Amino acid sequence: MTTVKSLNPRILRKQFPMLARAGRHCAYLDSAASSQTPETVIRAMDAYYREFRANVHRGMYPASERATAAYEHARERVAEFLNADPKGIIFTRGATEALNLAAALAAQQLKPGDEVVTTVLEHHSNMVPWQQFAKRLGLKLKYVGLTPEQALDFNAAAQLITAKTKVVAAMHVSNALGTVLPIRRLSELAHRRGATFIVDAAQSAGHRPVDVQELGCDYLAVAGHKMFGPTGVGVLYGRPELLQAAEPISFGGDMISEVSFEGATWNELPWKFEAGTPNVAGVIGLGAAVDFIGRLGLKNIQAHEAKLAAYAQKRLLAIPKVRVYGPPPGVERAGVVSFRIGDIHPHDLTTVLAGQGICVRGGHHCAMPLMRYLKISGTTRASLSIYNDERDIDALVAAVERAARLFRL
Amino acid sequence: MSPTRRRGGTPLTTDTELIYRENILDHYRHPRNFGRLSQPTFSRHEANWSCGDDLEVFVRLDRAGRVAEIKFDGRGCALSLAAMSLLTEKIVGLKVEKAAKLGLADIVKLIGAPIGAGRSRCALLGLTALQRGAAENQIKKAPSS
Repeated sequence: MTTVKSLNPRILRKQFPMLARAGRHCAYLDSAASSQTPETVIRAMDAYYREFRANVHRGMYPASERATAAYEHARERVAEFLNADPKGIIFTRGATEALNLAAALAAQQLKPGDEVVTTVLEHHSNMVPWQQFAKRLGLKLKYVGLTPEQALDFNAAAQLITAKTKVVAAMHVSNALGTVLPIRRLSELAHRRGATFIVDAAQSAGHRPVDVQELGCDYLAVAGHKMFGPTGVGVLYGRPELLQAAEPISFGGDMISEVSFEGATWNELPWKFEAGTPNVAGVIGLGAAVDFIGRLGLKNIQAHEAKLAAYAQKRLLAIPKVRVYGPPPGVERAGVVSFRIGDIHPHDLTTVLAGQGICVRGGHHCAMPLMRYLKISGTTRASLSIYNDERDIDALVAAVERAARLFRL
Repeated sequence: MSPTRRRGGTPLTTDTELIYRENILDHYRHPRNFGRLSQPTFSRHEANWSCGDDLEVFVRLDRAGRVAEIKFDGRGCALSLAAMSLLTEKIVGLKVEKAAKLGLADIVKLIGAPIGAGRSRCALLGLTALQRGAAENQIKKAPSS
């Protein structure tokens, strides 16, 4: 696939209908919550509904055959995107379902007293499932904290991950702070102790290269709607040997091989874990999103977001009474900039910003324990994508300064 | 609610900013009836975890069931604190049943600005505490069967 040389947000914005329509009246800085959907993805899903709207894996007629081919082609595209075996690619409703499924599958091997290590940075969807399994199975759950610079405390991780540790679950990129975690090193730690390693790649897939071989993960979760795909579709990658040994947790159509009144046998991988009619259009859309990303080039996307994040951090820090969370200037940061100004509550700030056409998120970002750990009620978060440029950041900064005046800071 | 823009590009005051007028900010920075009552007729704690807002309301009723005194304590955003501050001023002297019947429309009137769907929980936090506290008090008061 040919990749573009560099990204031009002004031209790219035209491919995203909501942004094209809003023009400069909308600075969409909430892509960590959900990215915009490009025309190519919308068209791919539209074609399914208009041209070959049939179920997959069933019909013998052309429309169904085409739907099946498109669905399975998307699986291959996603597998290639993650450098994974297609047998390990399970389509889910989203990253949340993928992480819940990963936890449920990994938990099949656990017994009372086993330890699970995760981090204080985690999104609720990679933390609450483990709290629940810990309660049900009598596991011990441990959290790796942060250094004073708000990076993951790797030394603490090295101490917490012991021979008793059976699962290590960590996010690749923090949705709340923009911190990038040392996934490869954590993977080595986990595997040296014989633990299963689960990665939440919801904020990294589509923003930087995510290679399951190189990262060394046993399970990895992806959110389709955060990487230009539609809502309602995600991916769980599972190492095929693990998936082979695991029992399915959802039963019904498609996942079975043979059913009698007495019992059933399971379908092959990956269908064993895809019960029922899947989100066909969503998966096809996700395949188109992967192609879209391929044309732009992940390295280009990563560089663009990093440059813009550094610019946003610098501009925000220049405003009196602003505090930016996460990596300090000069340390690697994903396209997420979380901040507070004075004593203004994030929800008040985001309300004022919304009035200025700035779309950002304020609050705990589904990481309440992290906010408590940082001793704050929440932050206001600007998150970036390929369609953002310095003008969006300038508009954000002007609106924050305006809020500061409004609140007489 | 898109901002009105002057030709020069400077935005005029937007609808959302009406919430943060001088008077409202004053209620936020200096909330009226802020504090606790040592012997309330009832009290109720209410939190909005998604915001980190956290209020406790203390109410003393007189013999006729009117709000004689009301105080509140806690932390929150400007909207939740100002709304509660304004509410406490409004309901002193009201029958508690009547006070508990107030709703979002009344809070919007007190704030004097439209409140979007995303913020209505903030605006209603104090009122919700009052309503739930009053309901619990009603149950407590009712003769057991």
